[in-house]
Amino acid sequence: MQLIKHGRAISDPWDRIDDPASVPAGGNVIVSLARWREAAATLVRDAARIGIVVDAEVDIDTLAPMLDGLDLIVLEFPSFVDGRHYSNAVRLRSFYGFAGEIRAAGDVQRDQLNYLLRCGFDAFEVADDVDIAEFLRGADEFSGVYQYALDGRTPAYRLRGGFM
Amino acid sequence: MYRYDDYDQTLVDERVAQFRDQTARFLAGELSEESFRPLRLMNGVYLQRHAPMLRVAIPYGLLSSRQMRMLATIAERYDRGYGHFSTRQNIQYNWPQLERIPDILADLASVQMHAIQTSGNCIRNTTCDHLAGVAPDEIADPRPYCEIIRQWSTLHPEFSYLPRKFKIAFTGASNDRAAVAVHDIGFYVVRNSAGELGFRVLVGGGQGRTPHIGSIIREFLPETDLMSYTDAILRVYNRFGRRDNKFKARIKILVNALGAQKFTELVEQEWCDSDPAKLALTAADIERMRAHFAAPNYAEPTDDSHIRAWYQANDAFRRWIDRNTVTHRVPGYRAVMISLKARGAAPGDATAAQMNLVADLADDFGFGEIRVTHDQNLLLPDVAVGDLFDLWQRLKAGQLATANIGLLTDLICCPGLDFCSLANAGSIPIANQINARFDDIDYLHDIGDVKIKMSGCMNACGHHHVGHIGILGVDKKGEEFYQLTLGGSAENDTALGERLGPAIDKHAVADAISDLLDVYVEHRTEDERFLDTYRRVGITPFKARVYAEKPAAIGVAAHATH
Repeated sequence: MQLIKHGRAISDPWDRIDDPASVPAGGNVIVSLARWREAAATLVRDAARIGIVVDAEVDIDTLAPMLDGLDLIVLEFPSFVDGRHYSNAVRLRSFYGFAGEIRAAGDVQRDQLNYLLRCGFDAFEVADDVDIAEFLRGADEFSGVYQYALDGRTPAYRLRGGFM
Repeated sequence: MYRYDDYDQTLVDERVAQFRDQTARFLAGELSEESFRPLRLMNGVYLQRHAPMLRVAIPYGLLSSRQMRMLATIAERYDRGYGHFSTRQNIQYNWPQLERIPDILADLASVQMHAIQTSGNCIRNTTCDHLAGVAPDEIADPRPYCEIIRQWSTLHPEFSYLPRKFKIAFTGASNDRAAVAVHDIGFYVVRNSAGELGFRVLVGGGQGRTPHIGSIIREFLPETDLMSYTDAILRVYNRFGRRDNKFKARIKILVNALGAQKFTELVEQEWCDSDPAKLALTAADIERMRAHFAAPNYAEPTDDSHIRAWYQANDAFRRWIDRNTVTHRVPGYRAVMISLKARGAAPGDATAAQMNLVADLADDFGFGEIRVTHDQNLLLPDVAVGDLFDLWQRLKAGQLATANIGLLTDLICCPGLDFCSLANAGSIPIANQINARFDDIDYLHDIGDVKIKMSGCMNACGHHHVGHIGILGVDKKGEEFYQLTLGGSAENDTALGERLGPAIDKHAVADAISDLLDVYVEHRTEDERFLDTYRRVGITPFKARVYAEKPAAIGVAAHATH
């Protein structure tokens, strides 16, 4: 698996673990939502930073009480056509103010990269055989936008009005 | 009409480049069919029965003469010389080659057109009243709102992978001519008691296999909140709409499952949680958009005594005026419908020559503008009364003067089994059967307003649920049968049709319609429309006649006599 962040491939500073008892002291660990719910206290005690993996089925609002303890949320796409995580990311960022990493994992492809970036995702897990340069081309196929999103760009209708 | 600026043109050009690259990667085997499919659909490309089908967006049904000429050019250059205007005010080409579709999109972009989001599980082309801006019963022109929604929904990063397709319609008039109540979101332009403009908002209407009339979730939404509120509706749908079964994935199923009240609460909550101020439209935003749709320079009415004389003297001209032209809000003008339902032609089809003729007529008798109606006809919105006779003669020369708007033969139909890979049964052959059977113009005019709407499968692209007479093609062990419904309407009195009885053999459809019309003629009071008679007398007499024992009218036995 390759991890892409800030427009390049980086080595993943996080470990995905299954057993909360096996947290390396001071490690950055990613656990499933179920494990986090079972063993939050242990994880908080042992790990430096904690991330969780969230399936598309999960109602993102149920995470609200635990967001303060999290530094990373992995939104796992069962298929790239399942668009729920776009709204989940938007709600995490804009309503809950989540400032940690939001990572797209699962079925993540170049042709969705632009939309993912615009919805507040800032890290992308892709398979080892993916050509990173090719993948990143998906980020800049469009020079303008028609709507506000979470990438800070000003949409055309506001630029037309002379809004800066 | 709306004219692109650099922002729009750049985006459309970049979209062409993106699709060219995606198509090349697919053809090179770098992109799987599974990955390419949603991408091509979002550019209007289906892989159909014979060849790919390309659906081109005609935003809210509005075309310039220049754009119409390009549609004709594309029909000749890449297809077989014709196109099919659809019930969603778009145009479809049935015979392009996949390799050449990027070139077609580039040609479209050269006249400010595209095929973006004409299919796929995303926000589709916004539709509206074909008389927008010229209707006498209009509260406000809906087209500026349509264009605002078109831009907002184009390449929307959050709402491009919805549970299912999503259709939005507007009307600004008191008479609904856009079937607004059977859309995922329907916006009716209204004024509140303070005289301010806004919308009554309906959600969860739709046709398909489980037809629903939309539920009102807001009696008055100020126009400033159009985008932010739509955003909230879409977010609720994107999060909670079903994805486990594509037949239960439309927003109507969610609204129905939650109940309209609970659904409304979720939307209102989401709207508060989001940042409506950020998406609020300013008065300047709206005014800037309205300026694109400013009224043209209408002339003062001129002497039209020669038109009155022709109207008295020429029966065919009088019929055409009565059926195919409607009142304009400006004195001295009429809006003219061009029927694409001539006998022998597939409903909604137009040849390249006809498209070019309509473009010329729009320039010669108007301000270079053409509309596509959801009844699959064309419309010239601004014709001076004094020009009507000249226009009629030129239309006649192009086989475009069929005076049947709103009549039995002005039927809506999908491409059906002849072209569509989803269809269970043919639509066009049945349309031809009906056209051939009812070719007595005096009889048709005597019968008056009857809307026949026909779909070749449950997806209801031909709007059969809301036809006064609905026809649904079904497959029974490899044979095509047709299920009739009565009493549907897509107008202010929106209603879903009631099933008449068992499906009918394909050779007996025109016979059955003839029976229905006979019952109507026997029961009608003076000036009563078919639909009103049906509503008054109920389904029983119609049912009794169609299913009465009679020699070889129904069932497989009918083959022998036809």
